[in-house]
Amino acid sequence: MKKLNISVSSLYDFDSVVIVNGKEVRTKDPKKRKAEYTVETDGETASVAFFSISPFQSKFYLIYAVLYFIITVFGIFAERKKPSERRFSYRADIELPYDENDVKIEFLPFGDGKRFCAVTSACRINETENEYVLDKDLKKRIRRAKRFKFYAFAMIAVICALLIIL
Amino acid sequence: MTEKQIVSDFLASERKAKFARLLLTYAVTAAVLCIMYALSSVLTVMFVVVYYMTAIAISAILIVGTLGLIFFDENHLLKKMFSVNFENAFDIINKIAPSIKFVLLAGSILAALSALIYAKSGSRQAVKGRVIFGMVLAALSVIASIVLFIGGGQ
Repeated sequence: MKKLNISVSSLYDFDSVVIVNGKEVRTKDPKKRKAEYTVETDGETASVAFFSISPFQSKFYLIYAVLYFIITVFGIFAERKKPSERRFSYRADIELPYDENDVKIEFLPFGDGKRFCAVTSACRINETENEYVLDKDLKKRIRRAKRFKFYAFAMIAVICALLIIL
Repeated sequence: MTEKQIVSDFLASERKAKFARLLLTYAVTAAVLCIMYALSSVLTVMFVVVYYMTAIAISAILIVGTLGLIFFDENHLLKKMFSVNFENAFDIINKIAPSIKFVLLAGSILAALSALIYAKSGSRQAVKGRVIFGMVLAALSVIASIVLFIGGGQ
């Protein structure tokens, strides 16, 4: 069995997923901008996918956004996390020559279309994807959700006003 | 599992974590408000005891002093004596006590806001512990409030 240790140093707060050989890997000791992932594998190479996820990628993002807005009393009790249209994606095949293999991933400053991370390792790495993206679809969804929240708030305000008057 | 399924599961678990954190926020807010209510009841009871004791002490001094002046008032000090009206003293204290309750209510609102900050962030793994802690705190404070309310706190 070969071990792959991935340490990630992040510049930004992204919700992200690490997938090695088709299985999600979770960090045991979550910290804000540093994470360590450990995987054991039989093979000589590990296929690594590391990418960000936004709640606005969900199919029913609009319904969830409006419902959450209402149950948090119009956002009063909502978490203060600004949604971002930025995302990153990293895919690589890493050779595992040793019993214990270390890979260090360091985030680089954001730039649309630019490399998202610098990877340091003694292992041979064949990168297929390594980029930051300003996702226009995500941007549209975020704006749509904001608009619907506003309409929901306006509708409830009108209903309350009518109830008070009547 | 495919990548799409992993992403879908991740989003579902993040929604659950968000909902759990929201529940915790509400639980901690309710707990803090209950504790502040209970505390205000306790403090009011203590205040009542203190001012009754003070009133009794003042009365004792005045009764002894008055009797002394009656029996030994060669200089007619009784007529000149300034008489303290106990009802006035209670009125003053009753005016102060409601103000203290308002101060405690304001304190509880501030405590509830700070509870919001406490429950706001947390990793997926850390949420469970905080939810349990918040629920236990809320339950204890509700029990404390009921006990005090039944026990006759104001």
